[in-house]
Amino acid sequence: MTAESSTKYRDELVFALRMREVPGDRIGDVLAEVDSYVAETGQDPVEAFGTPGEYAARVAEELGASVGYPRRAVLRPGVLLVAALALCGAELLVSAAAASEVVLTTGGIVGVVALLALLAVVLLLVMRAATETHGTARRLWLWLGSLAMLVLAPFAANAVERLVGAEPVLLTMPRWSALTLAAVFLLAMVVLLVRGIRGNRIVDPRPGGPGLP
Amino acid sequence: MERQTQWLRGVLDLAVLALLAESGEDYGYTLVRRLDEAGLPGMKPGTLYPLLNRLDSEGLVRSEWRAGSGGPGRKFFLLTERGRAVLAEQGPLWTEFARNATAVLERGMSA
Repeated sequence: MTAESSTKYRDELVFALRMREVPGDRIGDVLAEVDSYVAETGQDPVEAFGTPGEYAARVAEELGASVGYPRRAVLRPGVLLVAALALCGAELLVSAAAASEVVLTTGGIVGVVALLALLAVVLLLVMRAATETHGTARRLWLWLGSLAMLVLAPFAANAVERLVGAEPVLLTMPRWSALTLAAVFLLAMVVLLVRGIRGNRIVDPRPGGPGLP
Repeated sequence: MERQTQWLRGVLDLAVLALLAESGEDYGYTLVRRLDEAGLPGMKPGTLYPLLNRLDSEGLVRSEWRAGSGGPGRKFFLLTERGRAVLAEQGPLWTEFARNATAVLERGMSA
């Protein structure tokens, strides 16, 4: 076993555990257990613990109902709120950069909601692909599906927007207020993201341990 | 070996509690080795650690990380009073079950 393969295993395990919403302190514990065992025995981590996806599933299973199935990680309100803030902020920013005033229509709002829903489906497919343990072919199809969905999502959302139409106009905003609103949305997204990451950090439980990613 | 691993899973929590009752405390690697030496081979750490952590969350064992001499730290597991009580209660039930299963098999084999 090389240091490179050990690092790769650890990275994939962190990802798989995160996808199953295992808390950061528990992930730190699991990584330290794997490190400790592998250092003591020299055994390959896959041979000892199974593939990262399999081991993450077992850890989550033993933790019981407090942790979720991969798809739930995407559908949490916090994740959807961050995605909605990012999308609305970016949309407003682009519109304000292109014109002196931003017009908000029903079609525009429906288009943003449609894009958000389609991106949630892309994330679900990505998570299924990343945590798929039952075969390479199935994983490949899930990755291809995610990619296709990601490429098609903006076109589909645009088509929905046009179908609903540009009328009625709900609101007309001057550029400065659209830019201010975009800044508020994007700032709120960053704050939520940072809070989420800080509150769930991976901590090395070992006294004087070398630290974990 | 596959079948033996399946059998072991049915009694693994009690076997671990029993090993810890003998030694007071132990860590993952030596528990795997002791199970193997006791004639219960095939246990992978990928199965044992999640189980140990479940026993920990149920209060049957207690765990603590200790600094290793030169190497990485080791996570020691210690039997709690509650774990000892569960072993005292469930152990006899398992031995009776195993005895009954053995008797059925022996009758079948000698028939």
